[in-house]
Amino acid sequence: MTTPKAYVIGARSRWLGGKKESRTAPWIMIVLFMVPALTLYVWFVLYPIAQSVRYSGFSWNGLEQLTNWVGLGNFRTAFADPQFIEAITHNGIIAGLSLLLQVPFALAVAVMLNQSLRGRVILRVFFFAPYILSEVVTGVVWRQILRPNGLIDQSLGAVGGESLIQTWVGDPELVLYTLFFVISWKYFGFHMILLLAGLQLIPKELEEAASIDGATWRQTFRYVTVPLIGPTFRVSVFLSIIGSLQLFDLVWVMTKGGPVNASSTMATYLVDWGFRRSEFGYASAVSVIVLAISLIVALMYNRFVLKRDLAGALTG
Amino acid sequence: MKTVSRRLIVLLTVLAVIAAACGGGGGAADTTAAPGTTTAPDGTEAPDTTEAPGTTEAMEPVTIEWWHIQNEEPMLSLWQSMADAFMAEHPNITINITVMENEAFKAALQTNLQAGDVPDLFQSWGGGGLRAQVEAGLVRDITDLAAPWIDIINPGALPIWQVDGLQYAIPYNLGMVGIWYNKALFEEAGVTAPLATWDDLLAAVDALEGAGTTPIAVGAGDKWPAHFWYSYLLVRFLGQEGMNQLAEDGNFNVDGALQACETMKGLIDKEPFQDGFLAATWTGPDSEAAVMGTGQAAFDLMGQWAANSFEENAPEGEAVATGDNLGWFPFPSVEGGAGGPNDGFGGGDGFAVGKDAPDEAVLFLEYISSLENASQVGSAGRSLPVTIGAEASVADPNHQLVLAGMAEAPFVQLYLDQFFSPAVGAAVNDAVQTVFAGTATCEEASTAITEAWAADQ
Repeated sequence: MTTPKAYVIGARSRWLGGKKESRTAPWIMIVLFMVPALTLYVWFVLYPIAQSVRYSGFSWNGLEQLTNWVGLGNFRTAFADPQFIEAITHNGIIAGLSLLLQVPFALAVAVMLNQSLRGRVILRVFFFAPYILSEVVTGVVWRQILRPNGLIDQSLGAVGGESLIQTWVGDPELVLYTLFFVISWKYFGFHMILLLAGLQLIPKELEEAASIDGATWRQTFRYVTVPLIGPTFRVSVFLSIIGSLQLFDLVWVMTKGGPVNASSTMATYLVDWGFRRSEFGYASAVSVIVLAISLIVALMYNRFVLKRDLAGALTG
Repeated sequence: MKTVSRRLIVLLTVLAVIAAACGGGGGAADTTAAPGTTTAPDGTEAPDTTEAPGTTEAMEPVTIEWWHIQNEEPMLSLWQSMADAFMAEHPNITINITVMENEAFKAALQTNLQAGDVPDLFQSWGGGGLRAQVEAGLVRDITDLAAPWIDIINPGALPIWQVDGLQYAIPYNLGMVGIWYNKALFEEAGVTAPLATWDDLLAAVDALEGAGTTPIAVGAGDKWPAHFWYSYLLVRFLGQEGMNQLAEDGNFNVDGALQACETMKGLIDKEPFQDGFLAATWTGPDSEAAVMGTGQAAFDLMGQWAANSFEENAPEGEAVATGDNLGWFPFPSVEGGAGGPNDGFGGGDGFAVGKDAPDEAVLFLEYISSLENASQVGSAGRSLPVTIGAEASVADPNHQLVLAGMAEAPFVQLYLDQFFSPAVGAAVNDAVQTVFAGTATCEEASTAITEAWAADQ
């Protein structure tokens, strides 16, 4: 444990041209170099979080003085509000669907594009392209495609699928799944590239060895590919979960969380209460809850799932 | 050791430069602010001999920050030209205009208000929103400053921009909501306008549906266009007294309000709206305005700005609900309601004066309220000016009908989402949307609003 550290400090000292007596100098350097980044972090990340926590204890419309202390009242209201619970549920549904459909689909495409396939470079670019678009552009474009008598409806009509036409974003029963489709359209390419990179790290020799030993394609995939793609896959799942929890831009542009909150997420609920209703105290409480949920999920995932992938990277 | 200290010096220098750069902004602001606070007001000491030859008296330079939301022509250029003309008349005054889209404006203003950095003049709809700003001490009482000239404005328009009898903002546009209809589609279905009673309206819906026309366009995704139906029925059923009572106690679970909601529900149950109306916004490619503009629906309930938006939201050359083909009539009367058939429902736009605004900001409001300038606003065809005599500048026959409707209205109720605080206004809009979507009964919707009102007290 100590040997590498001593080596690092020794190296720094040499770089600084120092001898034994300048042992403390690197620490001064480290502190000085960290000051700007740390200042920004404290000022723009930690301070606003602390402010949100403070506001969350008040009933505050964002304009008046902070006088109306309500303690944990805002948190009680939030957890008693079926619409907030509904919003959390929607985040959960999107996360669940992403893990069940989007990531496996991305893996399937990645495996396919990892074969020697004619035109695979073009296909990779093709599948990855949606990820490059900004969420707002994606939202605006898909909103137009999905509108009544828009491109989707016209296409369905052209091939005799009139009976399949729905009010894609106007139907409270359907809108969340419509959004999930658009989210998947945008993000599966990203997961595909990630997993493709993971696949390409698997040494060809292992697969060759497996096939020499008489393993079928299925066995090779199960016993060679899957274990070795594991670390990448777990990161992909992690990003997918975090993305689902933070979901905002696309939803806001396409539906603003509607109709009748059928596509609300924690973030749209938060913005709706803050900026539309001017209930900044309550919105702050909701933001603290969202932060807590995201933090707990992220830490648990790191602790229990990513643990072995990160072992050695953060310690020693 | 030598190298260490040299590197340290370099690092410290870099940090010092960064610190200086960060501090620089504040320092520069301080120096520019200093002359404003130390110079004697109004040039009483008149050191004007050394001033620029063009000015006769040296006035202290004044800057007015003006935020408005007329981000479309012709108002965008009109405001700019008025500001330019005003600045030419008053060389010491600079007007900085910030133009924002409606929703972006609301978010940006909220942030600035919280920081205490209030624009000198900014868009205000009056009512509950203005009251919240007044109570937080963010807007300036201009009752005395405006007193010498405020009588040029229609006195009926002023109360919306008053809080407890004091004037905080000056309106420039006031109108009311009514039914805009496509004359050709009415004729095809054999419907004769105006629809004087609610039964006439229901019969017209049936006739239009029979003729294969979508009767009504509504942007229920934006919520407020849907709230017009509920609110106008509230005005009809409750009347002025009932509406005042509603403002007092926030109890939406009263007979009149429930009747209004049930009446609206009766209309919704006929499914008279365009496809996807729950997600439709007011403007945009699949919006209420686009559906009306392109003639895909026969009528809608909207304010005085509608005609302009119908045209703008239809593809070039495809706007049909315009000009002679577009008609207007007031909201129909209902049987058994406490409100009169001429009671109005509407609102308008004004400019509020920020807490730190210079007196010159009010001078500018006087300038844009003058008969000449208000008439320009009127002839731009988007707004209904409130300066007495400027009505004459309104050329559009439909706008003249709106003006006539307002002139006949003994009482005009302000939009409910402006009338109440933002939280209650939002609750009204949300509740109406749930009724439109059929996910809540009228009792549930009324209770939701009543509870939001109680929570906001």
